[in-house]
Amino acid sequence: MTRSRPSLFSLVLSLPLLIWQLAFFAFPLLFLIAISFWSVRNFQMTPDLNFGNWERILTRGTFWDAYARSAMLATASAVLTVAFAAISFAYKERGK
Amino acid sequence: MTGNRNRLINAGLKLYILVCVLFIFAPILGSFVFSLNSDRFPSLPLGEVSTEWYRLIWEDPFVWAGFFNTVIVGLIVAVIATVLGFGGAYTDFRYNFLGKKVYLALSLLPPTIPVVILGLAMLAFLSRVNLSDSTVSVIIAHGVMCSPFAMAIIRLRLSQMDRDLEAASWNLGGNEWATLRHVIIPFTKPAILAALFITMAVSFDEFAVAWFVSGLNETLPVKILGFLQGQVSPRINAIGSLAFLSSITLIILAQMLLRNASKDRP
Repeated sequence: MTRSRPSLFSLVLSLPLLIWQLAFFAFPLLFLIAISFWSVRNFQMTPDLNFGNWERILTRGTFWDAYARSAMLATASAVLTVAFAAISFAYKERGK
Repeated sequence: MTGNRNRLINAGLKLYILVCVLFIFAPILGSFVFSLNSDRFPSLPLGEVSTEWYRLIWEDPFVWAGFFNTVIVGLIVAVIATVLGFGGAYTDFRYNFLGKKVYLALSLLPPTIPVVILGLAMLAFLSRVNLSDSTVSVIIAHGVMCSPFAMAIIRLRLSQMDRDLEAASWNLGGNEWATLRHVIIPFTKPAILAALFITMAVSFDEFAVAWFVSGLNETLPVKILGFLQGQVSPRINAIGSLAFLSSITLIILAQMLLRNASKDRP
């Protein structure tokens, strides 16, 4: 691997996607994590380092119920779809 | 093949595939059948064949507004996502650099993030920078979600390319730009077109994120939810059938392009 100064050509091709995904994908997700620590004052979200939101969610039964149900559905569909795919593939590959 | 011995198993597997396909398409087929049914409620036995619901949506300005928004967003997103995806795919094909893994992860991750989380994050972010509630915000969000598809398709095509072609072009005096224009783009053209169609179809069908960020400029899928909440009308079946038809057309076009492309591989 040769390390030299990147050419204009390589930057024009590679940077747009990087900038787009950083600005509109990575940053919003990080921002979402950041505002999970914010608190509400006077009906406004204010920057803060507050673990109240996390505490409330993690100690609430409904959250864990929903989480367990999601996990169960995800596991079931993963197993089923892989089984479907395996059988279909076996059919396609039969007699080869 | 081991001959007759497996005939029963073969038939069973064929039946199984048929059942799978039916299982996938039955709801869509049902929606299509009921869209042509004159009865107000989807029930058996079927009433008369009628195009009443298609006429109603044809005359509905809300449907047209939603459709118009969807098409505008879809076209712009297709171009943006394909350009971004092409750049990413070529970068992966051609260069090795520090942090390439991070670059690829960042480019290809969006489809793995739950759409509700993505939508929420987009809304939180875009409303901060005063870009929410507009068509632009849907385009931004769909650009994020669609470019990985474009990148994957074009990357696949590039991987079929003979690396010597590029070197030959440089040898013949073409600089990087000329090589891109006369060698790379012509070679990847089927994939580029396919990426345009696929990303447009993805944008067409995308609901959750559009629902979060579209505000008043709703796309068609968001409008359909509005319809469902208002009243259960067979018009939804008609819209659904048309939406399915346009998406499947785009997908089939893309598939045909890719299939032909891999046939004439050097």
